[in-house]
Parts: sequence; C-alpha cells; structure tokens
Amino acid sequence: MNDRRSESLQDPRREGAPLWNPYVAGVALGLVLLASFVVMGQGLGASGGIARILVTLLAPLMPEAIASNANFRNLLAEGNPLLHFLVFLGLGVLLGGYVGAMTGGRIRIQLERGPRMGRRGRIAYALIGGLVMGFAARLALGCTSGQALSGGATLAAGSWVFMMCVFAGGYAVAWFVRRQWI
Amino acid sequence: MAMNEIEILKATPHLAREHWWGWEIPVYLFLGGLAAGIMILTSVRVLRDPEGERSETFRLLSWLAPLVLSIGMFALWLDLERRWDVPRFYLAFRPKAPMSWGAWILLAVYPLVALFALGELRGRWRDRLAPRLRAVADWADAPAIKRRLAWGNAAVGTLLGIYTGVLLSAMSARPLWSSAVLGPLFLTSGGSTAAALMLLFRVDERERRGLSKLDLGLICMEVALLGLFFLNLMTGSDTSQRAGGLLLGGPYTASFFGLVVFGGLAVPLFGEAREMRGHNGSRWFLPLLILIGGLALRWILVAAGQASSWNAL
Repeated sequence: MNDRRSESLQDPRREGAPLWNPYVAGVALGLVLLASFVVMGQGLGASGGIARILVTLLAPLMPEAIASNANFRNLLAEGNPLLHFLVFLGLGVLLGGYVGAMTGGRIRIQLERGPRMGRRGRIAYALIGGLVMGFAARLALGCTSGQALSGGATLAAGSWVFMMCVFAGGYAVAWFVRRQWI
Repeated sequence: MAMNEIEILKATPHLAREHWWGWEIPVYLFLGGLAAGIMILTSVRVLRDPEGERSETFRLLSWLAPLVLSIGMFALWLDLERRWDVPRFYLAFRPKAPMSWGAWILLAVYPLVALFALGELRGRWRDRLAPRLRAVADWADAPAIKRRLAWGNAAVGTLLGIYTGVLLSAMSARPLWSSAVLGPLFLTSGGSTAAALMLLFRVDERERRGLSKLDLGLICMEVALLGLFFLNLMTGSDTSQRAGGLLLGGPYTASFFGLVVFGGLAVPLFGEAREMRGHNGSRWFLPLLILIGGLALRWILVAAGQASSWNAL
C-alpha cells in the first residue's frame, strides 16, 4: 500500500475526539437559527455573504459588469456590502469550525476525502459542486441555508418542498459520486 | 465647553450625522494602545524579576513600542486638517484639554522608552552602538537606573493606554463614547494585544507561557469591562440606550460581535485556556485573532460613536 493510499485511508474520526452526533448538531444549529432571529431579526444564509465579498472585490476591477447586474448593483447601492450580518456569519462559521477542531484535537490543514479519492479529484469535485451550487443560489437569490433553514423555520410551504427536493436530489445523485467517500 | 458642543450639535442635526473620522483615528488608537501595552509588559517583567534571564528576542521587543507608536502617530498626523501646526501643541499645556494631555504624553514616551530599550540591548547589539550611545546604554542598564526607567516606562505606558480611551470619552457630544469605562477598556485591550503581538515572536518557552497566562487574565478583564460598558449604556438615559442599541441589535451588531466579542475575545479565551491545560494549538492563529479584535474594537467604536448623537436617530 503506497503512502498516499494509507494516508487517505485514515479515518478522521479515529483521530482526536469523536465527531459530534449529527442529530445533536442539528438541534444546536436550530438553536443558532433561533438566536439569529431573536438577536438580528433575520435567519441564516451562506451565499449572500460570499456574494457580498465577491462584489466588493470585483467592483473596482470590473465596474461595468457589476453595474449591469441588478442583484450586484443593489448590494452596492446599500453602501459597503461587507458591513452585513451574513458576511460576519460566514466569518463566525470559520471560527466555529476552528473551535470545533480545537475541542476535537484535530487542528491541522487537511483535505477530507474518502479512501479511493486522490487530492486533485477531490478538489475538482468540490469545485464543480461549489460552482453549480453558487450559480444556482444566485439564480434563486438565496441558498440552502436561507431557503431550507431560515424559510423552513418560518414554516413556509415552499421551503419544506425545497428541503424534500434537496434530500431526494442528494440521494439520487449520491450513487454517481459515491467513489469520493467509500 | 462640552455643553456648547452639545448645543451646537442639537441646533445643527446635519453636523451630528457627520463622520469626521475615517481610518486614521482607529489605527492610531490601536497602535497607541499596542505601544502602551508593550511598554507596560516589558517594564513589568524587569520590575518583577530584575536579575532574571530574558531572551534576546524579549529584550529587543522593547524597541517595538516606539516603532509601533510612530506608525500610529503618522496616521494621527494624516488625520489633521492643519498638519503643519503640530508644534503649536507644545507651546502650551492646558490641563483641562485631553488633546493637550495627549500631545505631552506622546512627547514623554520617546525619551523614556528609548533609554529603557537601549539598556535592554546586550551582547552583539550593544557592541554595534556608537561609543556615546554605548555609554548611555551602560548607564541605563545599571540596576538602580533600570528599575527607575522601568517604573517610568510602565507609568507613561499606562497613561498612554488610558489616554487613547479618554480621547473618545471626552467627546460628550457622542453618547456612545460618554463612558468612563473606555479608558480602562482600551488600556486592558492594549495590554492583551501587546501580549498577542509578542507571542508572534520567538520568545523562549517560559516567556511564552508567561505571556499566554497574562493574556488570558487581560482578556477576562476586557470581557468584564465590556460588560460594564454595555451595562452603563443600557441603564442610562434614552439617548444612551439608543447609542448602545447601535451595537446591540443595530447596524454595528454583527461586526462588533463577530470580530470583537467572538473572534477577538471568546475564541482566543477558549483556545488559550486549553493551551494552558497542555493542549496544542496554532502558535500564530489565536494571537492574530486578538490583534484583529483589538483593531476592530476601536474601529467599530469610532464608527458607531459618530453615528450616535443626542438627536433622535
């Protein structure tokens, strides 16, 4: 067995403390969502913060392209796009991840991947998935966190339909990309 | 004087909405606090353990204070409308004017910190000095003189650290800043950012542990002072509560809690407490978070303070 293979066969759960129980993590995420509504008056979202960072970076480089897009134009019209709850929420996610890694004794730079997946392949899959997800999120003016979590919490029918479709789509596609993880 | 300012701002609401200060003042407040913290920490080490062995890096860190302060003062100078009138500050001393105090404190810092830092140069560093400077360094390194210099350095550092907060709280026209807690808060924050900056250098393991422990204590104090700051605002007049609301639910909430409370205080506190118990962590990540948090504290308070006024928001 070569080094790369043996390294990739290491299960992250065997190092440091065990990972969180997903059901406990789900309840905790729900409480974070509740706190977000109570303190900030709005729910969670991920792609909004990324879009704001992107607009801030691209506005000086390609002002015409940004101005021609109504969505980006609106973000700039509000003033500094970075001074928004969603940007700091994204920062908090990164810091929360660091705290989680600290408590789990897993602080090091690593690429999470399955035993049969090389580094490049994993990065390529992640990039393709991210591009599709990001494009779709901007197309729909929101992402899974905004629609499923924040919308679902307000019991919006459309959000629940969307969430079921997400699970159905996830299960349907999982078989084709299973080599990443098993 | 203060009442006049309030009256003027009440009569001219458009002026009360003006943001006079941009990036220069928060950067100066941050670097001034950082320099003050370095002066205090390096001096306290000498006073606590005069005969103790200090690493070469730790001794050289004394020079960081004037360097950092000079960059901060340059930012302050950039903010001035009439930049070439600076010498006029030194033609008078007005005990009731915070600006006058600040100008003289900043002037007192340089000779003191330079003498103290010269005395801290040893070995090859001292050998490189010109003969006259070497003689000054020898004089400043004598135990009795060194102790006095360390006391002076720590005292002026404390004044400088408190002054950065008093500069804001003296502006009674801005209700968010109208708090006596700002001085101690900025002094404590200056100390914790200084300890964080020093941790980024290669001090020896014993010094590292000492700085981490100190940082932990200072962050705890900072949390308590921030709590007092908000308590003071939220139990005050309607105007004070509106000003506090800018950070508690208002437009500055996410940035303040994200960068200062969570990123700059809670995560480093948790991480350093774990390191104290023997868990390994990143050597640069937590100190960097503390530094970012310290800068964000001043930046956001300066911005939010200017958004607060005695007029209805």
